[in-house]
Amino acid sequence: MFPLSIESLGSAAVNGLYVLTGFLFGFALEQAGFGNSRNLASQFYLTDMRVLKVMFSAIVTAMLLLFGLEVAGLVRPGALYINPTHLWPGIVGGVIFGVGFVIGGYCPGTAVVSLSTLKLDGAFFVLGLTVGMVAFGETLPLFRGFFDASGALGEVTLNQALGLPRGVLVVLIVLMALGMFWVAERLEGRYGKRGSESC
Amino acid sequence: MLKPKTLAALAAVVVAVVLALLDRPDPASRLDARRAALEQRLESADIRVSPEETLELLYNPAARLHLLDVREEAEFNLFHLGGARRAALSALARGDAGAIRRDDVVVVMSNGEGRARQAWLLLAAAGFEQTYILRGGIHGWLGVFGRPDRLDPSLQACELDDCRRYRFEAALGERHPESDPGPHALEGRSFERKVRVQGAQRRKSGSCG
Repeated sequence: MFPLSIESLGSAAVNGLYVLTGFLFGFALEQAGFGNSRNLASQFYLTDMRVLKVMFSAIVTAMLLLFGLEVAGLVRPGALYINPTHLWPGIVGGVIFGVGFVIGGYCPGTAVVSLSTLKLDGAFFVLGLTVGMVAFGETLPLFRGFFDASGALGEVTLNQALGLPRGVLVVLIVLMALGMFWVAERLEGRYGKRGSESC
Repeated sequence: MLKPKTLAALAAVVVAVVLALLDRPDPASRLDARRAALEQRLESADIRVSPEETLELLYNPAARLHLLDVREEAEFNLFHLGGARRAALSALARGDAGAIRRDDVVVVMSNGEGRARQAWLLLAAAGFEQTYILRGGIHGWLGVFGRPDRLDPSLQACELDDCRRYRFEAALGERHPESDPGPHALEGRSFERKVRVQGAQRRKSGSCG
């Protein structure tokens, strides 16, 4: 029955599993071209939509696998941790994240991937996000109320928020993803050629 | 011949539809379907167990007792019953009750009975028929087994008595003496037993039958 309890393996083995998981994740990102800031920033100029396609494919694959395991009774119901939703901090944070992404060309994970391949811009991005994290931590008491309580909805899932059975929502998300892939390919076809012509 | 991308897309849709058809109702849906009947039972004294009976069950291995405390983490860390496990209402709403078998005895508790009522509804809807509410909650327990000064009358009560009205000098969890007063605390007390304990009973000394 999943999730597996790995504590019994001992701290060395558990830490080894963490390192292995991190390595595999970084490897997959790097193979997808996410260690290159130009590939990532192109998402925002609609010339290269690989970020959307890769990430959403991963989301749909993981969603179907996880849902399948739950339907098959192989996952203890509700055992997976769900991040509590804090609506307004999430929106503000998302905007800040997006601005940083399009300026720097990386998100935190891909910046580490870039750093691992010794790219200089990745190194500076990691340095910047480290400074940002420290600054956030040190100034958090100033806006703790907003961070903790604003739009606090608890551990709510999308199907609960929309009042839909989760099976219906899974199908809708798959259809939405496929629709977005189709639109992404049309955008790439239109803007991608223009982007390459301008160079 | 379909392209690989098209085949993958069709496969994803088919898998999603099949899984949606095979899916069982989630706990919230199960509760909605049985809410009226369960809310009627919720008002009954039959589903409430006294602190005395709860303490007796703690020392009865045949009961396979689970004490689920649905208070916030800070309240739980301040004081909780010996052997109690913290269970978030949100986790119960997702169907995660932990390793509890359907015929185990479950006693849910909160400060008063506010959150415990919601926990009872979720567990009863999920098929845990031997679920009970600790009568009076932590306040009730401390009223029976606690020091006289544990319950602070200056602390304001609130709806269903679920706001904290007790004081402890330190957050010792279940290391307070009141967490487990021991079976001798039941001597001289009479109480009604509501819980049907299944399985092996304690042997009585004496004859062969």
